[in-house]
Amino acid sequence: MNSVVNIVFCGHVDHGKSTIVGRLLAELKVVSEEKIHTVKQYCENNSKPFEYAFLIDALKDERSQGITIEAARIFFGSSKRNYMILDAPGHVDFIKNMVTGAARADVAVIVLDAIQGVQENTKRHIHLLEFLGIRQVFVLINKIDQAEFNEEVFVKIKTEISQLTHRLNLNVSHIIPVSGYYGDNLIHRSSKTSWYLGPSFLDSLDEVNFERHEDTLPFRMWVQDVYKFTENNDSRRIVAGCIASGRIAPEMELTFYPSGKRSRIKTIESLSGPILMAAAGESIGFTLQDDIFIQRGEIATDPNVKPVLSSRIVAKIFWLGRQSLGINSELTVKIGTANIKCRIRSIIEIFDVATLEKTSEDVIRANQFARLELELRKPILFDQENDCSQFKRFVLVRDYAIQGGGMIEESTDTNRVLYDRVINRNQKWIGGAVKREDRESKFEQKSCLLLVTGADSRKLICSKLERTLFAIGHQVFYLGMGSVIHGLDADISNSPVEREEHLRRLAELSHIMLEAGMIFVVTTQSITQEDIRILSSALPSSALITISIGDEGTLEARPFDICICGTDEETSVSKIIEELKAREVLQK
Amino acid sequence: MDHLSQLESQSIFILREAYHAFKNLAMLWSIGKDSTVLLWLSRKAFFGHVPYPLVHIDTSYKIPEMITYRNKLVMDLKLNLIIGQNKNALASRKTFPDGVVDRLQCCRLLKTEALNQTLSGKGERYYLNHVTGKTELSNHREPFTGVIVGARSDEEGSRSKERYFSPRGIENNWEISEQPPEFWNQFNTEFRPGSHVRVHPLLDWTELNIWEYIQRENIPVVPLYFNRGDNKRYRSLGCYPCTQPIESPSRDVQEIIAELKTGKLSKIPERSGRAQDKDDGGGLETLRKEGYM
Repeated sequence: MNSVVNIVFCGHVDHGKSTIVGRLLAELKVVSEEKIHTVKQYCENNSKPFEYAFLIDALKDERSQGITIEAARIFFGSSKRNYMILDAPGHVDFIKNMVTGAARADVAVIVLDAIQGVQENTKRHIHLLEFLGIRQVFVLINKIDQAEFNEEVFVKIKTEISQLTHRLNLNVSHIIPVSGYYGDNLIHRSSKTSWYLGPSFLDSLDEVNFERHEDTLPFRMWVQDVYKFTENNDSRRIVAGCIASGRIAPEMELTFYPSGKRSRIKTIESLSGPILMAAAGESIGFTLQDDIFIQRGEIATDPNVKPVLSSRIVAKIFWLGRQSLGINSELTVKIGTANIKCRIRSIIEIFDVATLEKTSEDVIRANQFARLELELRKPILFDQENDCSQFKRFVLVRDYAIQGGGMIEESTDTNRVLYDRVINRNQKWIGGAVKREDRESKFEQKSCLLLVTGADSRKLICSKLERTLFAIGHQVFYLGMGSVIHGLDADISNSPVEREEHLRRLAELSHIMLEAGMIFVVTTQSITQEDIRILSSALPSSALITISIGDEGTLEARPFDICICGTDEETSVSKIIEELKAREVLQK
Repeated sequence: MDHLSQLESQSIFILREAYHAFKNLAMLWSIGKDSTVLLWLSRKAFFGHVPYPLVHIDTSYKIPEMITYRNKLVMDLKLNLIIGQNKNALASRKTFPDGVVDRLQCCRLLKTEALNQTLSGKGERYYLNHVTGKTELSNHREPFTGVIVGARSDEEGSRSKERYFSPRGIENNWEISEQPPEFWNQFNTEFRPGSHVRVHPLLDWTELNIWEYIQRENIPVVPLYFNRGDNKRYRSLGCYPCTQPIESPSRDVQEIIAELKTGKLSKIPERSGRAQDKDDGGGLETLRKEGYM
C-alpha cells in the first residue's frame, strides 16, 4: 500500500473551500448516499439551500453558523494514489485550527474567489503556509462560473497572487481556474475554460512527486523516553524514539546531545525480538552497550556530528495567544521531545499580517509574526548539518496550551567553552558499579539540586527540610553557599568576573552529589537567570529545581519552580515537601 | 515506508508521548476492533508491556461473546483490566431495554456517566483477578488524567473534528471551539488541575487500515465481526438491544478487507447498525460533547 498524501484547503471565508471539497467528494463517490440524504433533509427542514459544504461541516454548531470551525479529516483516492483532506477553516478567529490542519499537509491548496480576489486572510494564510514549511502549494481561482469563465478575470488574480507568493518566498506549483459549484477543472478539464491549458486539479495533484529521502541523511533521533519495565524479569533498558533521519544497526556508535555521552547500539528491540536495522520514520527502541544515563529530550546522533550547543537563539515566531507577548515574557519551548523554559530577551521585529509591513509596536499580539531573541534555560543542539525540521521548529506553551510556533534561524550564544567542558566531563566520566538510578530507586527519590533563594528564613527552612527528609529515610544534604566560597572556591575572588567559575564549580559539585543519588539543597542570597542557565547546562534536565522563599526573590530570575510566600517555617517545609512529591522527587 | 507502517509509527509515537505526559494514564477498551488494535500498538510501543490499565465500561447489555473474549485476552496477556459500571442506573432499571428511558438517555447513564464516574474514581472500579479469573473490587481510586481512546476520524462526522490530544473540561465536556492548536507533532499534554486529556492515536486510520493491520499483525478479534453461516456480521460492536449486524458474506479478515475494497460498504456509514446515532439528528455528537467515548 502506498503512502497517503495530506492536503489542506485554505482561504478567506466564503471563498468556497468546503464547496470545492464537497464537490470533489461527491464526484469521486466518497461520501455515502445516506450522509448526502441526511444533510439534504437537514437543509430542507431549515429552509437553507443544499450545499455540498454542509457535508463537511458535519457538526451542528457549524451548520448553524455556516462556517467551518475545525480542521476536519476526509479521505479519498484517485486512480493513482490516496489523499487525506484536512479542511482548514478560513475565519480569522479560527486560525489555530487552520494551523493545526495545515502543518501536517504535504500540499496546501489556497482557494480564491474570482470576484473578490486577494483578501486580508489570504495574505495571512500565505504567510502561515510559508512559515509552516509546506512544500507544494496550489492556487484554485474559484467561482470562475460567476466570472462567466472570463480569462481576463483569471489572469488579473493570477498576477496578484503571484506577486504576493513571490514576495513571501512561497513556491506555487499550479494556478487553476475552477468552479466548486459546477465542478469545472476539478476532476476533468473543462471545455468552458478552453483558454486554460494546464491540467485539472486532480491530475495536477497526481503528478506531484512526494518521495522523501530522510533515510539517506546522517542519523538523528530525539530520545522520547528510556524504558525499564521490570515485569516478567525484563532487564532491558530501552532508549525509545522515532528516527528523524538516517538508519541504525547494532554496533553503530552514537553520541547524545546536549550531554555529549557516547555508546554503541547493542540491540534494536521489537515486540517480536531483536531486529537488524531501522530507518527514518520508524518508532523504535534500542539498548546500549554501556550503562550511561540518558534522558528524554536528548538527541541521539551519529558520531560525526560537530556539536553547536546554544541557549540563545534568534527565531521567527507566530503567536496565537489571547494575551500578548513582550520583552521578558516567560514561555516554554517544546522542540522535539525537549521542554525548555525560556524568556524573550529582545524583540527584533514584528510584522503586521494584513499589510506584511513591520510595525513599530513592542508587543506581539495574537495572529502576528515576529523575529526575536530567546534565552533558553538549557542549551539545545543547533544542527547545521541536518536540515530536518524536527530540530528547527518548536511550539510555544503558556497556560497549559500550545499558543504559538517558531523556527530557529541562528545561534547567538557565547558560552561554548562551558558546554564543551560539560561534554568532555560526560565523555570521560568513570562510573562506579552502583548506578545513580540504582541509588535513586533504593532511596525512593529522584536526585536533584534544590536551589533555594530569597528571605533570610531560607537557611532555617532548609535545615528543617533536611532534617524532616532525613527522618523519613531520604538521602539529603544541605550546603550553605558560604561553605563553598571559603572552601572549594578559596582560590578565586568574589568579583563578578569570577562568578561564572563559582557557578561552574557549584554545578560540578552538584553533578557529583546527583550521581551519588542525593537530594542536594543549596541556599543562596540571590540568583540571576544567567546563573540558572549556567547551572542547568551542567546538569541533567529537570534536575535543577529553584525555590523562592518570601517575596524578596530577585526579580530577574522569576518565575521560580516553587514559590513559598508569607507562611511560617513549618508550613513552608511541608509545602516544599508537597511540591516535591508532586514532581515525583520524593516517591515514598 | 508503506502507509500502514507510517500510521503504526505515528500511533506509537503518540502512545509514548501520552505515557510520558500522564502519571495516571488509562486506555479505554471497548473490546471492538479499533481499541484492540490500540492494545496491540501499546504492546509494540512498550516492547511487550502495556504499562497502563485498560478501562472497560460494562453496560451489562454487551453481547456475551464480547465479555468471554475480553476475559480470555486479559488472562492470556496478563493485562491490567479495570471495569466500570453504573450500578445505580441498572439497579433502578433506568435503561432503554427496561423501557424507562430512550436510547440516548440510556447511553448517557450506562456509558457516559459510568465512564465519567470510573475515570474520576468517584465510582467503584473492578479488576479482573488473573489467578481466580473473577472480577473484584479495586482500591485504586485516583482520577485518571490521561485517557487513550480509539476514535477514528473517518467513522463519523464529529470525530473528524478531534485532535490527537484533546483537553476535556472539569465536567468531561468537549469544548470544540476552544481546542488549542496542535502541530509539528507537538501535543497539548499540559492540563489544568481537575481536567483530563483524551488521547486519540488512531485518528488518521480508516476502517480498511484497521482490518489490514489486524491481518498484518495477526491480531485476535471477536468472532462477531465474521459471518458464521447466516450471511450476517457485526461491523461495529455495542450493546445487543441497540446494535444490529449487517448483511455480509465475509467469513474472515481477508474477506472483510476484500469486501471493504469493493466500495460496497462505503455508501453505508460504519455505525449504521448503532441505533443511538440516529436519535436527535446529531445523537453521537451530542453524546460526545458530554464526554461519551
